[in-house]
Amino acid sequence: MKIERLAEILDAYGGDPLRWPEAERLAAQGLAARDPRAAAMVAEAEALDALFDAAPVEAPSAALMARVLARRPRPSLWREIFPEMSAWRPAVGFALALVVGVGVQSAAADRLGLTMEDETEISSEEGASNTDVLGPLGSGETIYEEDVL
Amino acid sequence: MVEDPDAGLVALTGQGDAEAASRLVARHLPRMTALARRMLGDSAEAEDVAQDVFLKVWTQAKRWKPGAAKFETWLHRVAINACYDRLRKKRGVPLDETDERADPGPDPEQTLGNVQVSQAVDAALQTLPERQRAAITLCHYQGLGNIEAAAALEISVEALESLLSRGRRALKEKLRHLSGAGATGHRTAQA
Repeated sequence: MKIERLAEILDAYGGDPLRWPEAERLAAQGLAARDPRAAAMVAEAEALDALFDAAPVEAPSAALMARVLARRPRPSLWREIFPEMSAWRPAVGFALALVVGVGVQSAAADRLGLTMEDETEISSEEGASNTDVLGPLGSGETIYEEDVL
Repeated sequence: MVEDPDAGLVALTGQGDAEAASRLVARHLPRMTALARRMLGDSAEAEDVAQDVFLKVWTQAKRWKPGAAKFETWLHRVAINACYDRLRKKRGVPLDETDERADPGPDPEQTLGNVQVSQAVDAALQTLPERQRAAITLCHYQGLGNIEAAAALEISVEALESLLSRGRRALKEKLRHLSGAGATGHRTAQA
């Protein structure tokens, strides 16, 4: 390495070899070790480094650390309960949906049958319209479908 | 493939692991706060930047793909850009290399203690153009290698070296009155 290149390195990175470009570090250290002029240049750069280091900054407070962590999004309930099951999540979710779906279908079928019988009785006895009787049932079915989806 | 000491913690953080998130914050928050403090010269703003940086971490951790760049390099890039944004908003003009601020200069008769030396160095750093200040902050204070620092600033290593040289030369001139004070912190200032 030429002394001119060492001067450039010191000019940019200062006197600490740890900050020098890795690929040139050994050659630069070798030159500084054998050439008194190079050694003097390193010492001058180290003096400027020491001045820079005389301006420390304070460490962040525990309160800041807490604020940073508090802004982390909460993990989902699923992850809280089953932190190790992320890979199984789609399969388990599908299975649960299937079970709920079958249950709801069966319950809806039972309820529909019962209500149709009631409707027949009410219509024939009191002359109520289909809308009055079917209204609540229709809403109930919609809610069930949304739950399954 | 880049060896990344943070890869495991980032992956766990992305999966919602609270312990990993805490360790990631403990490892990097002091460095992010220090970086922003040196860039902005204001502790409160530095805290805001550090919080913004970690908000990005929380949203990006689950999408983080190790191998392309070190997490720490990315983190420094995010922090530097956040600082640039704040500095632009303060000044209302784009980044410019010709914006060296006026240096109040030393009182030649003043005897400088540790605190005054620290303040003088900090004040001199704040007078540098942003990009020179960022280069010196990353390489000298944050301890990034030249390749990582250049990547964080999204410039070539040659451009980084040029920024560093100009920045250090300017600081040397501004701190000439403190010559020798860094080692002991107690020197009588010279004109």
